[in-house]
Amino acid sequence: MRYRIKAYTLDSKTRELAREAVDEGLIEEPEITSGFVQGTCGEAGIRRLSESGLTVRALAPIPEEGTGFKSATPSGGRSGGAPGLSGASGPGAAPASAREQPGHYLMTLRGSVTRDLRERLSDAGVTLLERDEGGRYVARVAEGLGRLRDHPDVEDIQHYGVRQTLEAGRAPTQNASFATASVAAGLGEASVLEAVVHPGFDSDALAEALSADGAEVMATTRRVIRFTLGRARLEDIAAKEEIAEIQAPGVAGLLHDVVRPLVGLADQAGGHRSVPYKGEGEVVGIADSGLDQEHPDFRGRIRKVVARGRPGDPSDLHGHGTHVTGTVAGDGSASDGALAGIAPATEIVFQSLMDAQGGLGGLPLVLGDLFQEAYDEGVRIHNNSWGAFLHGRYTSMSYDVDRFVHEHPDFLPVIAAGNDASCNPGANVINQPGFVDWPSMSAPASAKNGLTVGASRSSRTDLGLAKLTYAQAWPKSFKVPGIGEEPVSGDPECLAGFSGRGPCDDMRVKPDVVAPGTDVASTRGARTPLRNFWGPYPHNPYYAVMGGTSMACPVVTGLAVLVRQYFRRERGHGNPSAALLKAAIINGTRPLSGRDAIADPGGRPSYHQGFGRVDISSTVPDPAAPTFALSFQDQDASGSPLVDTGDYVRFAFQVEAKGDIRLCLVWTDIPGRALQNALLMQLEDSSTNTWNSNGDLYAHVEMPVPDPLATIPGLLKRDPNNNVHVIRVDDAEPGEYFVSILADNLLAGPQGFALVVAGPVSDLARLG
Amino acid sequence: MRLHAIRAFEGDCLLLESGGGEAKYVLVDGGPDGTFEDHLKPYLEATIPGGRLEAVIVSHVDRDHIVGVLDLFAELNRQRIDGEDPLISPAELWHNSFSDAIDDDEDTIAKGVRMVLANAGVASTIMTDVPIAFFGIAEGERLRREARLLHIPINRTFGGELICPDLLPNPALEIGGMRMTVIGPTDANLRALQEEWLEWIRRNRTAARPEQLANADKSIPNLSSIVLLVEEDGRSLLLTGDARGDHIEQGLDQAGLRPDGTFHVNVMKLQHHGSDRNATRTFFRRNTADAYVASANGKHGNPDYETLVWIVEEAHAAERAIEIVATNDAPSIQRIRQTHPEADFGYRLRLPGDDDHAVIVELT
Repeated sequence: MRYRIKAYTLDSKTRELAREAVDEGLIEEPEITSGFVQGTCGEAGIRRLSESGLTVRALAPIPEEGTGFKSATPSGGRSGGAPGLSGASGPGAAPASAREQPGHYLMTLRGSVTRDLRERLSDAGVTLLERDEGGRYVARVAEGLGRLRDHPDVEDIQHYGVRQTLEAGRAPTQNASFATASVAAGLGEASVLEAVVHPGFDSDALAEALSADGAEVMATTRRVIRFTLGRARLEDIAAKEEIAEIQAPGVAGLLHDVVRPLVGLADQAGGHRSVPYKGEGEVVGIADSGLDQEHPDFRGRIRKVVARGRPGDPSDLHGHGTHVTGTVAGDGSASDGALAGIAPATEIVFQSLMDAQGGLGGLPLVLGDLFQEAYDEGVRIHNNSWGAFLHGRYTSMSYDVDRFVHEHPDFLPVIAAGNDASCNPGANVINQPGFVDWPSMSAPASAKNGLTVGASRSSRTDLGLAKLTYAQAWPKSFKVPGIGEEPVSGDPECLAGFSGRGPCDDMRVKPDVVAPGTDVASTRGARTPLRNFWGPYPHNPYYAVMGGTSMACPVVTGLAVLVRQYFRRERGHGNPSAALLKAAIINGTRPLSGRDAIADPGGRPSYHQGFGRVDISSTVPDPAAPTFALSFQDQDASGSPLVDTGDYVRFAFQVEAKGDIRLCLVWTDIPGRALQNALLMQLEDSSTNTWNSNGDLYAHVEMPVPDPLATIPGLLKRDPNNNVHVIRVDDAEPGEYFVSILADNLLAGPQGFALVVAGPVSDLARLG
Repeated sequence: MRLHAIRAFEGDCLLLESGGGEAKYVLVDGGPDGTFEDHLKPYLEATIPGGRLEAVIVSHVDRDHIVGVLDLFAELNRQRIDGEDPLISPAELWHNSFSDAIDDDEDTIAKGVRMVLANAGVASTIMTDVPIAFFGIAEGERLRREARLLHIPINRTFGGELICPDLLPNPALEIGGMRMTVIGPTDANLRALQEEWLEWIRRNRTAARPEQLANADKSIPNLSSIVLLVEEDGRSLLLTGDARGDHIEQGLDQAGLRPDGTFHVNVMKLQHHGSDRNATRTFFRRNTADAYVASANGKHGNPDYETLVWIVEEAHAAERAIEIVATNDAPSIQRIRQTHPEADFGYRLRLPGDDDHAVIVELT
């Protein structure tokens, strides 16, 4: 059995090893880039390469018949024609011969998208549009398949037909589970639909075509058309060449003191803060139900309030928005500072979303409009404690988040993971104490370029729901004993049972981080009835206790404000990117040890807790008494050395004393469900040790590594789907280290990135 | 026995007081937003200071019945945390959760309603009362959570089970001198309701535009109300919640209380605030009372003028002298006084004084 492989060549030694392997014929059909050699290799060869000191990734096994497409010939094709053309045999699929024309195809490539490969494809009339969650590419083919039939770069090609359009957006949804329920037979599916248009088409023109077919178009944005079928047939619409996917959208709802010590801000009134920042000079944005502007804890710091839900009335009838705002930015005036938020000196821009019916009618159709409004007011960190329960689906809302950040790389949306995790009989239940089922991520929390926050438990044992178990508090969600018997709060090493779990529908890890989100005390709006909270706060009507990932999210938003202030004030970095703030925060996390936090599938990051709980004290050093150093690179796309697949950039740094070092790489990806541009981080010391990023990811998950290779030590597993990568080395020996950032597979460069290195380390020196 | 009809705006908030010996109290529903602060709290403080409620009964989850109880429980929780003496100590909560009463183990209906609302809601435009039906489900769950927090047992008298006459070996219970018989919801009612919910979802799942949904029937969730017959010393009171007339009759039939197809009670709390959608003229011909209590303030047109006409005319035709007790001087009350003068039709209208928190109906 032979495999397609990549051997990484990020220094002169590995480059020399790879060259020898090519010369010896160990790597056949080689294609050499600066950062890796890709080619084919047998099992024994892979073992030899790996043992020689190369980092090797095995891609796919090569089919025995050698070249030619691996898929079966569809029925109805011409005799001997279109070998391997996968059948799009769903309803309404055109006969195979009709596909011998320009159109959209799903293409599996034999290697990464190098410049040469892209040119070869271009010569054959192929434009790669998007990468999908299976690692295939959605491609536009200009002249039919003739020249692709024996193309050396194409493993498989399949028409992007009706079935693909209908299935593209179809992770398990509430509708799917609804349709299978016992008394629901025949009720069918949601009636409001969204069509996502392939890149490069005009959605307005397509909307007109849908209307002409009898559909009722409700709204159109750049890539999304929201419509109801009306007289049109779903199959007819799905058959339109311009449409990439059709999905049922979700509706957004609000997700729902002791916190500060848990995230490293160990202070009570007037006490010591582990960092000297309080958000001075920063502007934070919060889009939520409404705000009690008269609350003493916000006095003098409200820069702007926008009434988006009820014209002219941004007040808080619910209580959610005022509570969230207090956690981000309350200064504790009404509690002698005891209940101050995380960034108590920041300015606030608030966008009120709740409409007269109690829904979030203030959300615009395109989330970018919400973000732009805040951005124009100077907001660079934006709290979103709301979302729609969609089982980790990447929806148009997720796309909007990714697009806005891609276009405004200094804008960081912080997003609550959702409160829909449960543990009931059926589905994935693993009989393990504390286990909570996945996936349950909300949208837009499934976006790549935001910072997604799950909830851990607070240490509270008295107020709110702290004395109840999860089964007592939410009997419908926690029917399985185990998590059901655990108290809602009290053990800060555990997660909140309801906290939305990953992965997303492309197997990407979410949440990114967790923060305390049960029984959180914060500001209570004057017009808000106590019944809307988890409970009162003792002897002080200005505060109340609430919980949810909604309450965890503003903890991280507040921290992001402090981190931004650090970079601006201490590091002279006037405009830190969202990727840099995210990298710094994730780099500072501490993994939780509670049994639900490390439940199957474990590893780091995990689908339960992401990269762990945020902690400001290990995120940025206190300049007055630093316990670690922080080095960083904030590389925007325009000047990035990562232009083509295979490009890499290499930095040297010193570990100055034996100690733990932490590295985090984050990049703002091109919008789209799956990872479009894949980077990789590798760390070497000056002897022979090499560490690869996210090495522990999937450590406990069954991975599609070809079985015969499973015993080869150090072999890289499947290409991770994440745009966040970490490396941690405990007790690193002093000496020189090298960190390389590699463009492992770029759909379109150049790609910017942010790298943060923390520990007893020197500054980063760029090599070459 | 005494019924205190608290001025719960458009909703219900009824305090039941047993006679003879030491008075025992039962609260049935808490009214909508504002009822607790404006009326229920001061009334409890004045009437049963530091006392005990033998039961708090939430007939069903509509906001105009449940919110005042949520406010009461939130206040009791605040008092507990602040170390204050409790306003009142409820010994038990009677409440049928939506999932127990109507839904299946998969929460099919709750999910379906959520889906329908989601579809309409994505357009971010106006939906009138529809979400209330759905949010009532969440409010019911919140109520039970609060009860657990306050260590108030739920349905203890019923072994923690659904309050439904079909499930009770003996549907009659004693509280003080009051004998309480559960009339509804019957199992047949609940099955019918489940069908209606599914039909509602089927019908409205294509109501993608909110204005379509706004026109949809919003009354379904009302229909699972707990209906109780309360008797003491030969006097009787029928508490109907928002149950539909035919369901009430079915429950009375099932209990063997209408052997000849008619039923008489001393006091009848009008179902659904006297709405004419939950009753017919025939209902009031076959099921009669000496006094009718209308808990409403004109919102949604309640009590409906038609309902009042049916009651007054049917009593007049049968030469029965009756009393109509209303918690507020709603427009329909004013109108019936004009079109059907009390003296001409042999009935008496009674309203609370402007400063009263409740109007009291004596059953002695």
